Amino acid sequence: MTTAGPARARRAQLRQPASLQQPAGGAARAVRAEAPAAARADAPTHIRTDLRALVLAVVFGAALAVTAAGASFAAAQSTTGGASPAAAPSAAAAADTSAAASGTAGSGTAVELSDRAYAIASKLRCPVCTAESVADSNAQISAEMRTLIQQQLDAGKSEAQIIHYFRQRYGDWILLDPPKRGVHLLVWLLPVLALLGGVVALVLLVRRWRAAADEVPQADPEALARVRRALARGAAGSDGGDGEEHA
Amino acid sequence: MKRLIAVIAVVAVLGGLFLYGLFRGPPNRDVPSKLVGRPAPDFSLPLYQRYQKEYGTTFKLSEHKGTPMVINFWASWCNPCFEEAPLLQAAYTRFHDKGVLFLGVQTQDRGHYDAGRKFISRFGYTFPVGMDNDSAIGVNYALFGVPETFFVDRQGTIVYKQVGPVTQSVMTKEIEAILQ
Repeated sequence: MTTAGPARARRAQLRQPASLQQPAGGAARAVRAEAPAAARADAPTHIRTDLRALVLAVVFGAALAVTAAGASFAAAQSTTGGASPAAAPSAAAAADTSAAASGTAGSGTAVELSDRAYAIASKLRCPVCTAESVADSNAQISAEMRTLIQQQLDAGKSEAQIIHYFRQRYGDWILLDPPKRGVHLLVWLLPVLALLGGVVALVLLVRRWRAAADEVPQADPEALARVRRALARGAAGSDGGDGEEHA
Repeated sequence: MKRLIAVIAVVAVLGGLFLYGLFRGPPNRDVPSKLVGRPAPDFSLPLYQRYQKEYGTTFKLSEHKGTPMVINFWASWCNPCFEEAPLLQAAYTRFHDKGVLFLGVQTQDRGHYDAGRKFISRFGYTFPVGMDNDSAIGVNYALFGVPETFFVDRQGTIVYKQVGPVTQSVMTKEIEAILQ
């Protein structure tokens, strides 16, 4: 902002000859015709800058979208990574859950879940569902896993121990959120990097816009000479004829 | 111009990735098992009555160490389980004399004992089958769904896990592997 004032003054200075001398007749018309042309000469630069900004915004927007989509697809992929025929059964399993829960045979009975058990279950992925946690899934295996979590809590195990139990069997796949290490770090870092990239690009763009705004347009020496000749003729009292020169 | 080409290239790559993600079809469900290469977790499985005379009321895995085993997890609501059942029985008939023991584990099927009995009768399972009523064994074996079949060698190590219905070629190949 500190350079904006002098820059405006310089631009005003440059326009001064045409506005102050007020030539008459054809020469005056020629001068008035030159001034907007000079202004138009600046236009492509600004248009290019704006276009560049637009394209960069689109690129970073796309990067963010792709990153987010990639993360969700990674999650979806790992969520549904189980037994292929289980997709149909999982629906059946969900449908069966109520029947199974009310079943009287066997040792299993419905266990009331504590908030802690629910919290742990919400960190684990339902093995037969798509993008659903063990806490939210109606699939029977999820119900059994919730019961198992509660039983382990009742047995005095910590959250870390319970999650370790499931990771030992299912690997990192069972975690609803990818672990913050190894290749999984990409899922966490890419959105942040894309955001930072966008901010940096925006800062650079703003700086470029400001530099472009401060830039003093350079007049074409030939055009300037033409204008001066025309002005000189006008000042000499010529009544003009056709005062315009055609280069 | 060069910059425009670069921008178009970046947009094309990102857009291509996005479209690939959208249209790549069903995700790959073949997640490598953490259990392959590790000792088969021990369990006690309550058997259906028809097998109790020969195998006892519960089947304890650790009591069969030294025997190559095929452990098949299934459920009475699972269509692919119906598809593979005849193959399992045929394979058991074929390899039983060679010392391979088959075990059926009905899981993710709480309380559905009648459906289990019907299933067993329908396919005439002569190998022991029991009910994992609370699916604890299934979770311990990190099942993603049913059917899943584990091939356990004489040392008690899981050498292969089949996700989905087992095929004839897989059955033959893996049984030969656990017999060695």
